[in-house]
Amino acid sequence: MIKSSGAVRAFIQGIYQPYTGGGDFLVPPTERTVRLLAKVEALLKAERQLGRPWVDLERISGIMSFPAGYIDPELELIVGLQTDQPLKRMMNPYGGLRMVEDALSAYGYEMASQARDQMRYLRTHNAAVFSAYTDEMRRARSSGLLSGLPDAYGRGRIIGDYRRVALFGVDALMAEKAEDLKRLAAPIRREQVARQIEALQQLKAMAALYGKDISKPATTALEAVQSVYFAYLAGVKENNGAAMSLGRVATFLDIYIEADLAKGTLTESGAQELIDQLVIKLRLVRHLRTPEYDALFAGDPNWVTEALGGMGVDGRTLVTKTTYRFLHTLTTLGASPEPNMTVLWSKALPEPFKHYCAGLSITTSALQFENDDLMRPHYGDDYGIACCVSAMKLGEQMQFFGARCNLPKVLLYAINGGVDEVSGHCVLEGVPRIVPEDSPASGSEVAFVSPVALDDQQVAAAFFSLMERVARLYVETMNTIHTMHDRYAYEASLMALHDTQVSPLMAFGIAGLSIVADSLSALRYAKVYPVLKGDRVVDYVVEGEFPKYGNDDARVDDLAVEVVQRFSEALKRTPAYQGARHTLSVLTITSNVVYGKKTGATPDGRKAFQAFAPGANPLHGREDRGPLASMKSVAKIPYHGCAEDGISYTFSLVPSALGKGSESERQRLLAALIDGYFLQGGHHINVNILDQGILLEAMDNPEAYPNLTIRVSGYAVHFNKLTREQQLEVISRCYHQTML
Amino acid sequence: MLSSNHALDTGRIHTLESFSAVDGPGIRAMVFLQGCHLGCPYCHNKDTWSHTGGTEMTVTAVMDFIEGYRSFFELSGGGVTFSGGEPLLQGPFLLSLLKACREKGIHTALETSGHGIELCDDAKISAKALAKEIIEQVDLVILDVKRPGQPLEAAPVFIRQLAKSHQPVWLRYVELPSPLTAPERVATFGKSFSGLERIEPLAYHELLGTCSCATFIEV
Repeated sequence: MIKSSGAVRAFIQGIYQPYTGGGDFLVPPTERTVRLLAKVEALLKAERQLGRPWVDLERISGIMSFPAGYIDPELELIVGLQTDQPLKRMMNPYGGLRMVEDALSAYGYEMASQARDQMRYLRTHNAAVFSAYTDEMRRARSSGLLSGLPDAYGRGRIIGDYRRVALFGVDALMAEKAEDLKRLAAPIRREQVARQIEALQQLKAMAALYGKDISKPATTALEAVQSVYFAYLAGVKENNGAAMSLGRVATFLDIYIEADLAKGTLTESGAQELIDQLVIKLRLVRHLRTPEYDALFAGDPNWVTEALGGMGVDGRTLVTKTTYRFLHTLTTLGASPEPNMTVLWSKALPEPFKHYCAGLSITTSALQFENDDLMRPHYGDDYGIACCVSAMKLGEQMQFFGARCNLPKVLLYAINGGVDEVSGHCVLEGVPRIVPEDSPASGSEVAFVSPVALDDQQVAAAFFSLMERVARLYVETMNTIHTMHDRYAYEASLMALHDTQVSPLMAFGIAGLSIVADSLSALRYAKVYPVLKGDRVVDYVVEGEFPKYGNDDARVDDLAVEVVQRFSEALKRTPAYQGARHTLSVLTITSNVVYGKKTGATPDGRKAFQAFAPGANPLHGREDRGPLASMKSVAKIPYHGCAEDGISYTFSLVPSALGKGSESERQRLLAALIDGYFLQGGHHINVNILDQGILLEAMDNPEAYPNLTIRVSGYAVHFNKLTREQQLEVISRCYHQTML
Repeated sequence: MLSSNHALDTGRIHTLESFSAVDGPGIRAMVFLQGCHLGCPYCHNKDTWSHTGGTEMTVTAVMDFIEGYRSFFELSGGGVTFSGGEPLLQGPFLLSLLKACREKGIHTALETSGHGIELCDDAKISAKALAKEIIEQVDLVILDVKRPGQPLEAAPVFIRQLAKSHQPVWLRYVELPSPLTAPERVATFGKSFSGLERIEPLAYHELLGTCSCATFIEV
């Protein structure tokens, strides 16, 4: 009888070969890969030209819902598709039937009648959640106070430990689950584990459709990669979670690859080919979404996040040659946002690896970096990252995803007595107004600027008090969602690859942190006059200067820290479903524009509907001291015991900002920037190095490219304050300088 | 006429910028001092010219800013660069800052035209002596050469002092459409500096409206 818990880590720690050299051993893709890639590229082009997703209208999602599908069996070394055709998406009604219907009608499709009949009697997660929601939860949701909730689509943020399938084979895993089942008494738990066993059976059968037997442990690198992929594939056939991350497979697979290389049954070319073929498959994952979902999560993302590198708790690096091989796919297959390559960065990582990553970052902007030194004491050395920034121990922990709370709206509701500043509807009842009812503007549609500035203490107190209430509402909403998700859209295939006694985390989030911090700062250090229309405050007039978040100024940075800490504490006061541990992220992914659109003007002077800054970034245009000052502000946000679900920071710069030195000097400089930021306590950094074309777009959409750093030597540039013409001129210098 | 700044502890600052990789080696914090008397027509920092603009700051406050980025300097072989405006116009204040950085082991670079220290001349310390001290305390001078054709004897006192020292020097010059900034001329000029490490041409640009460089070039 195996004991799978902790076994993968022990296997890795016992055998793996740390690699401290550089990337010179890497080789180009094989001819077979190049031809396969060409076919895939033709398919991707056809997908774009189709103008709408390709959907299977006959069948319903599931591990065994589709026969085997291929791109070209002559060229595919690693096999398996979500449906019977590459890029064809399936209908997954378990999250919500209406989502499927809305998506189909948005794209001009109608599902086949047999599918409609099957779905007609299905009770879905979405229907269940909405029947259980309180009126307040519904109002909070539709006003955007709580946003991105997984109540109509799969929650994601669960990473099966796919490596277990390669290490043990499905039969041993099923036997272990059967033993675990014998020891369980609670009916719901028994049913869950029974479903997990069923899923494992289906996984095995799915592999058999492709002529592969994964009942036993993998003995070759090819088998190991195939097993890991099949396990992941079952997950994305069964579920359509927003984030379906991969885990931390590179170092594990390296063990098999190194064994084959030593035996002489594999060459470096063949090793790279295995990884190339795996990554090609991962890039083909697709889910059917509605246009509203796409607006919130732009770009068809799946967050197939692979955590690369990092350090072991024993001090050896977990970087292996396969870590390099994964990153090398950005070269062999071209840059792509998927899989979401996330480098677990430590000061102690081998220098050649740091420079290799920095170099890839400079040429592709496709990497993100996270502070392993910060996470390792908390999560150990076998954690994966779900979505962008959310760590958890693989196979031992799972997340109950909770998207985010719009904190600026909490502030505005505190001022407006629970009334939404945009719609005028009462979202939270019984909240006292700050601005008196009987102002001269009552009943009038003319905007009236109050001669009385808002009282900073009064507003702050009201805000923190309302935040307590919203925190409770948020936890209760999440408890509702996850109870129903477990009942109606249980991720049996993913949970089958977790310990039976799994430890859950409930992942809450904050959107708009910089706006709240700046607003509280404006209220305290400047004078903020509310502008009333009818009976609510719709705008603010700010007089005087105030310190802004993102400039390493303790007066406002401390406010940001206080807000995060108090929100975290408030959340913890309401027990979470399954006794989950409350975690919190400061992350908005690409939704920062949408959140802004749903939020009226704020006391910091931000205009109504203006985009939020992403994650923990300062609002664009407010950084007066440059990106390192912003990094210092962001690094103050506490991770441990507080924002353990991640703190996201995005840094955009033009290539010439890294100096005119050699490529190696520029890599060193970027590596120093990352080292320095993490030394300050930063958690995550997304580095965008913008070519000229993107830079022009960045000027039009600064909220998408925050902390944009344009450096021209000797130039005291306040880029945002230049005219458009001047900006274009400066940009031309940046690229001119690069060419010198 | 501008009044020279004799203050040691306070000065006028235009901008504090936390990151530059193009103003000296490594990652650098930038301190842009306020005030410039030259009026170069191609200047891209025109809001640094005024002597009354900017913010008054103490040496302590500026050092607080600089020291916050120490770990970045150490990781990258960087430091702080004083620029502007023309930093030499606030010579004594600049010297205090340079001394404070030296004391704390922070690498310093000075971006200057080499002009303006004469305007700090007073009874306490001559311009020449002040120039000498500044050159001694700074680790790297990035000299923005305005008149490379000018013989050394006719150059301002700071440039003459720099030529006598062995401090590391980088020369920069704007490639005006004039024989005065022909690379050979600059190279010849550069031979005066024993510590010369590199010469960087800067492309000529007109940023804030049109200008005629002919109004600037004196034959």
